[in-house]
Order: sequence, then C-alpha cells, then structure tokens
Amino acid sequence: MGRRPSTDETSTLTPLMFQILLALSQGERHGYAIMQEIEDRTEGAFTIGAGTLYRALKQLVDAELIAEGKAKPKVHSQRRYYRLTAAGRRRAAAEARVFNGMVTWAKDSSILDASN
Amino acid sequence: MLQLLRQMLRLFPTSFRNRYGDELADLLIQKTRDVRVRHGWFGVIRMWAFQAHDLVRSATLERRIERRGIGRSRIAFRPTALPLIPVSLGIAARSLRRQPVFAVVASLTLALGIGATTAIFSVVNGVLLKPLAFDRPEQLVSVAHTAPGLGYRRIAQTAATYLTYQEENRTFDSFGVWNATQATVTGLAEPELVDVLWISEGALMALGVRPQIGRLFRTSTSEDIDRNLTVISHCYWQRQFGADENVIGQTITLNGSTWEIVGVLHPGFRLLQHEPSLLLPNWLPVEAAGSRSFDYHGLARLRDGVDIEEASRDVERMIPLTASYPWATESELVEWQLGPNITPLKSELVGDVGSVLWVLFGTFSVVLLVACANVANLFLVRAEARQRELAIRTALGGARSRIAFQLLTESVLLGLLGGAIGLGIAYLGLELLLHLGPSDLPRLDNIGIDGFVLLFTLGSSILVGVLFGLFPVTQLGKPALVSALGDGGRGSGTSAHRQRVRKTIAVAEVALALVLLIGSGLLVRSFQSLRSVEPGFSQPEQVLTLRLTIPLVDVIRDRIRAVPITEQLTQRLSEIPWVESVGATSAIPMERRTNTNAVYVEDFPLLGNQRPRPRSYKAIAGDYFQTMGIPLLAGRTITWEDVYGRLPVGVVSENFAREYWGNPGAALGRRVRHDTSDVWREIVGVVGDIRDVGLAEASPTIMYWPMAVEDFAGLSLWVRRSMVYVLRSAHPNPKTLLSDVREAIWSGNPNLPLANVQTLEDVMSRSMARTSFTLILLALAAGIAVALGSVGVYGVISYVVSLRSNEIGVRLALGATKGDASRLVLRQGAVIAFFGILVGLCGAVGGTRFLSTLLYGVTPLDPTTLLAAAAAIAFVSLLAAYMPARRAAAVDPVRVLRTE
Repeated sequence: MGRRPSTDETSTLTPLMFQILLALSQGERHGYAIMQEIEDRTEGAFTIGAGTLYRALKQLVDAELIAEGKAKPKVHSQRRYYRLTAAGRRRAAAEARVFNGMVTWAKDSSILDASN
Repeated sequence: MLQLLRQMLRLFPTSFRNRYGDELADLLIQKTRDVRVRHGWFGVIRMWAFQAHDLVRSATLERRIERRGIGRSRIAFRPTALPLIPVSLGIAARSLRRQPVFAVVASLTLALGIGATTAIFSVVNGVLLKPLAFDRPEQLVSVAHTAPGLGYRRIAQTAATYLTYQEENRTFDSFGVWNATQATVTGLAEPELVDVLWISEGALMALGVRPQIGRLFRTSTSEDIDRNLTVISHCYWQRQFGADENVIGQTITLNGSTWEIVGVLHPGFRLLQHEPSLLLPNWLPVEAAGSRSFDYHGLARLRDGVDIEEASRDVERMIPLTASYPWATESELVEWQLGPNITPLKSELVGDVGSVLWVLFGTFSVVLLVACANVANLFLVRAEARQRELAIRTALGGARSRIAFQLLTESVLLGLLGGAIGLGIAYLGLELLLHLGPSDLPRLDNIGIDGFVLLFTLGSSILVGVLFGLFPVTQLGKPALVSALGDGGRGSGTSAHRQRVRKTIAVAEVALALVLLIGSGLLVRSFQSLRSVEPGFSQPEQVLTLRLTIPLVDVIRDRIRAVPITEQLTQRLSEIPWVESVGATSAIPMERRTNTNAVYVEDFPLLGNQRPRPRSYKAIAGDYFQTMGIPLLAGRTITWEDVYGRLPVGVVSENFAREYWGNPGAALGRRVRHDTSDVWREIVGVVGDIRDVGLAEASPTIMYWPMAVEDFAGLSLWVRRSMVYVLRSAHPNPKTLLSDVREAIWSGNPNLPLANVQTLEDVMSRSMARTSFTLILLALAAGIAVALGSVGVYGVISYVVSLRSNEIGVRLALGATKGDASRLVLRQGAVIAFFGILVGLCGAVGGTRFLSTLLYGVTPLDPTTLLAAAAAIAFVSLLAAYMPARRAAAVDPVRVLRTE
C-alpha cells in the first residue's frame, strides 16, 4: 500500500512527528512547550519521551519540515525555538487530509459515532 | 540526578548530544519540576521510569542510524524498520562472490555433511518418528512375555494368558490377540492366496478400527461365536467386489469353508507390516486354555495416564492368576520365570532397526561435525587474511558486534548454500539408500523428503552456519588491533593463539574420524565372522525355495490326501532338468517360522511336576536333508514309507543327541514325544546342527518329523498342508528354472498359488541384511570423515609452513639440512595425529557400545580393530602433513634472507 503521491515524501510520518507539526502550526515553540501542547491537546493519550521527541525534531529539521529559530537568551539560554516551514505546513495539511479521510471512513463504517 | 542524566545523554552519538543534549536536559529538569508539583514524588518516579527507558531506546536507534551514515541524505522516519539482515546478506553475498574457490569448497564440504545427515534423517523420520496410523498411537502396546527359564527373551500369549489378562487387567482400555497368516480363497475368480488377520474383538477395539460399511464381528458375545464371519479390507472389496455396497451378507469360500461377510474396513488399514485382505475372528474358548503354544500376539491400549511400567506390574500381578487354567502350574510359571515384556507397538514394527538407525544418524551427525570443523578452519584462515580489514573497520568505529554479525551472516549464508546443495545430495542418496536398504526395513513406503525433513535441513544448515561462524567471531573478541595494524598483517602477535585453536580443531577432526573408522572396522570384522559361520547346510545359492499350500478343499474329506499330493509335487519338481534333488519342510532356516513344543525323553523321566523344555520341530518330506546339504551323522532319514505307514519315527539334530546320550550313534532307537498322550517316537537318524534362527544365533535343537503323524502333540492326526519345497540344482542361476517349476506344479495342481520363490542364499543374506546395510553406511561415513579430517590436517600444516617459511629459511641458511626442515613440519603433524588418536580412542570406548547389538564374534573394544584403525589414521595424517613438509624443505634460504 503506497502513500498518496500528493506529497514529495514517500516515508511515513510517525504520529509524534505529525503532532509536532500541528503543535507548531500556531507559532514558534520550544521543546518543552511542544511536549506540553501535545499532551494537553491529546488529553494525555500520548506520553512523550524526551529522547524520542528530540530525535523526531532532529529528523524533521533534517527534512526541512521545521526550522530552528534563534535562542531567546534572556530566560533560558539553552532553549531553542522551532517553527514550521512552508514545506512542513503543506506536509501537515496533506497528512491531515489523509487522516480526515480515514476518520470519515470510520464514521461511515459506524466505528466512530458520527455526531462526535 | 543531573549527573545521572548526563551519563544517560552520553549514550547518544556525539553529534546528537552536541546539538540537543543541553536542551534535552533542560526539558527533563523542567518536566520533573512540573510533575512533582502536580503529581508528587510518586509521579516523578513514574515519569523517570518511562523517560529513562525512552532515552536508552532512542539513543540506541540514533546510534544505529549514525553508524549507517543515513541521517542527512534522506528522511528515515522509521529507522527501526531498516532491514539489517538483508543488508548484511547482500554484503555477505558480495564478499563470498569475491572468493569463489573458498565459497565453493566450503559449501560443498557442508553439502556433503548436510546431505548425508538429511538422507539418514529422512529414514529416521519415516521409520521412527511418524506415528502409526491409529488414534493416539502412543497408547498402543504389544503385550508379550519373557521366559528366561525356557530360554526365550520374548514369547507371545497363550490362550490361558489371553483369557486371564482380558478378565483381570486393571491397566488396559482393551486387550486382544491377533495372528497374521495366509488363506486360500476359492470360488470368486482363480484361487488366490490372500493375507488374513485373525484378530479378537479386544484388539480391534484397542486399534479403534471402525468399518466403512457393515459391522465388525464380535468375539465376546455368543451370537457371533461359532459363526464364520469375516470383515474384508477396503482394497479387497474394490478388487473382488467392485466396491459393491451389497457385499454384506455375501459369502466367500476360505480354505474350503464358507464365510459370511459382515463388514468392510476403512481404506488403508494395516497392522504393523501386515495388510490383510480379510479379518477373521480370533476366538479363543476356555477349552483352548490348556494349550502351551505361545501362538498369539497380544495387543493392548493403555488406559489414560498408565505407562508401560505400570502395565508391566499389572501383568506381573496377573501371571500367577493364569495358573487357574490347566495350562501350567504356579511352580512351573516360577521355573520358566515368566514375566511381562510390554513394548510400544511401534517398536514391534521397527524392532531393533530403531537403535541401528539412531546409531547411523549419530554417525552422520559426526560427519557433519567434521565438515563443520573443516569449514571453520577455512573461515579462520580467511578471518586472518581479513584481519587488517577488520582491524581497520574497528579502528574506524565499526562496532565489534556489527562486524561479528557480518561474519555470522556470511557463515550462515554458506550454511544455507550448503544445505540447498545438500538437499540434492540427500535426494540422490535416499534413492540409493532405498535400493541398498534391507528389504525388511519396515515402513519403507513412509520414507521420503517431507516438510519435517526440509525443516530439519533448514535448521541444521543454519545451526551449522552459526557453529562454524562462531570460531572467527570468537577470534574477533580478542583482537590485538594495534598489532594487527602495526605488523603489516603478518599477525604474529595473536597468531600463536589462533594456531592453537586451529590445531585443536584438527585434533578433533582426527579424533572423530578415528571413532567412525573404528566403528566401521568393527562391523567389517563382524561381517567377516558372520560370513565364516558354518550355517549347517551347503551351497545355499544352489537351493531354490518356494512355499506351496495345498488348498483345504482338496483335502477336506481326507486330510491324509496331502501326502500323495506332496509326493507327486516333489516327484514332478525333481523331473525338471538340472534339478538334482527335492525335499519339503514346514519351515526353512532363518525365516523364524519354526514351531516349538515340549519334548519328553523316555530315558529321562521327569521328576514330580517337572515339565520338559520346549524344542524346535519341523515336518519334512522327500530328500530334505540331501537337498539342503545337511549331513546325516547316524541312522537313516525319513522315507515316504514312514509317512504313508504313519510310523512313529523321527530324526533329531546332533546337539539334541549329544545333550542326552553323548554321541549321535547312541541316540538311535531312543524314544521321545511331545505330549504325554502321544505314542513314543523312535529316533531313527541324527543330522547335523543348523543355524536355524540366524547366522548370529546358536543352533537350536531340532526334531524332524514326517509330514503326517498320528497321536502327535495331543492331536490324533497331524498333516502339513503348507510346506516349503527346496530344490537343489546344478544350474548356475537357479532362478531361471522358475518357469519350469511353475509348469511342473501347475501341470498337476492348477489351483496352487505360487509366491516368493527365492534361493536359500537370498534368505540367508536377508538375515544379514541389517548388518551389511549398516556396514555400508558406516563405512561411507568413515570414508568421508577420514577424507575431511586429512584435508583438515593438511590445511593446518600447510598454514604453519607458510607462516614459518621465513624461520625455516633462516634455519636452512644457518646449516640445517632439508631433512631437518621437513622433520620440523612433520613433527607438527605427528603431534596432531597423536592427540587426535588419543582422544579418538577415548571416544571409541564410549561410542562403540552403541554398536554392540550389531556386532558378532568381536568385542566393541577389539584391540586388532582399534590398532589397525589408529595406524590407518596415523598414516593418513602423516601423509597429509608430508606434502607441506616437502614444501618446507624446498624453501630457498637465499630468497628468505634477502627479504628479511
């Protein structure tokens, strides 16, 4: 089963990667903020390991789906901020369409309550 | 805690740590603080359990990606899914392709070992492992007795024991008896001799036999008793009745009497090696319980949870109870030492073939081991040649485990390659084996390469690959990298250790080869002594044997009519050109069909309730002794006049005469009988002993009676209808006389079925078939092992020579002679041979006792065989060392000195 050719990437995003892209859609965030955002928005359905998080961040940066912002030296010198790139936004949208299709499918097959 | 965190971060590759290490630590500290506020210390602990695990895991994954250098070039979103094994396999395949000679030699060596082992395993699988075609076959046992007091290791059931066990047992689900014989069916088409199975209801129940149509007969209820009921086999139903459903109720004529068909069996019914056409009720009435003939094979299904030991105790308990029948007194039972002998039904079928096959399987596994050792040695040489490559890879940061994995992949790939070729070898070998194999090897039709065998081959290929691949890998475990890099690849630093390993392997190979050589040597000696045993009859290759059974219908009104028919048959057979003499007997030697019965001797009356010992007896007619070449030592043979006059006379074997009267002549005129109600029979002749049971068994005492006798063994008249006819001819190939024989028989008796024409030599060699079969295979295994072992020694010594050629050159330059140089090398070979032989002899002491059941006339530790085998191995090893030794002597000191 191949992925839709609408994205350039043929590899799969992990759920975490998709969540990172979503978390960054509202603006720049540092690592811990991304983690908190995801845990809040998924109501604790995901627990995120710090190592896994930074590995995903690294891979997303390498793939140029996100970019590292400048460190804000005042408060925490170590904190680096990440932001979504244009490619990242497109990729997140494509990924969301795929998921949306799957959710519709789940509703059609009465797996998921349609009113939800 | 910060310290611990720092330590954990060190697990990550440096690049990752530099980039994200501080951030990561900062995040975790922040997180810890938040969790403590919200969930307390307990939450912190929980969080850290999770985070620590996650750190280790992602560090490992990151490292793996780093190492493969993927990282930047392309997103690896699923690093764990990256196929490690296919990649390694690709590298391994390329590496092997670069060294085709190495790959071919190694895989062929393995193929030889795996192929031979697979072939033997498929025999073991077909004969020993596949269960019988009955429900829960492991519960089926064959119930017999031991009777050391009577000289029997295994003796079957009598009517009395059967009736007792059936009534009194506490451990059997069901118990019954059976007998396989043949009977003549007339009236359907041409008369036909068919296989029949006399079987009791209990045995049918134990086997779980269900009819396809109709019903089974019952031997326990009165309504079926005394009626001639039969159940026919599926095959016979199709062949003779065209699968007609209305066969139930029809009758067939069997041995001249009428039998009603009540059922048809399901297809494929067989009991052990018997595939009967007809099942007949084996009904033993209480009136038969006085008989002492151990005629019935006992068969039982054990109750759930009962094992053979428990069943044996049960039978042991019941044996004294049998004395309530008039067959034996309790003191006799004690004197005979009658005891239980219960074995799994399967072992009845497989017999002692089982142990032989396991021995062969073990033997070929040893060959496989030797092959492994050889390839391991090849691998070591190669690993040494690659030492620099590996050292460089390690120095450049290649993980040792990764390199080890690569080496293992290569060896497993080689193993699989060898396995694939080996499967072909096994297929061919199996064809050969089945041609070669003893025709009495049971369940031959079960042998073949099936899924289980394939699984075995696959498993052993992988195992073998891992096994010999581990040698170079363990070497990798202690590499002196710097020295390997530094000394230009000569590897002097660690090579001493590695040479020791290789020499140890060579010693093991020599030892294993020696064990196999001793084993096959012992079998050769056994075979020789069997060959030199005097069977008691002469020129068996000139004696043709065939069994003829006069149909009961021909003699139903007057049983004695069998006598003139037999005389006519012998007469007509003797008129065939080339035929010199003709005789007939109830059982020929080595077919194990000789009857036994008690013998009373008039001169030696028994005291009290002493019972006589059972002896073998045979009925004979015509010129039996002359035809067989059994010498007449005293008196005369049995004549047709004796038969027609039904005179109470007989002939005994020499050992019987000597046992009672000291010499053959003294036995003449003495009288013996089988039963106290019989007339006394006069001994009129004494003949030579024969190896009646088999060449390896002692000659039994035998009584020979006329084919028709009165007042015999409790019977008023006893006439043999079924006899084996023996013809001695001067024809170089007696079997070509078969058409004449057929014509001679059918010209007077067109109804006689004729089967199994063979020479006496065929019968003899069949009784030796198992030994010769094992001998051939073991010799083959030993041959392969010796060849592989000598190649191993050669390899090690040549390697030593190549390593030490500089040293040798210097020695030569300093005045050592060429003889000194080759002696130096030969000594290495001698050391390997010496330790190999030492270990091998110890192995033989432990190993050859598995062969003891196959040996005849030679002990498992026969010094001649041991010495000869050791000498042969020493010779071969030194020969293998001699070639490199010559190369050592040819080293040119001038060139060596120039390069130094």
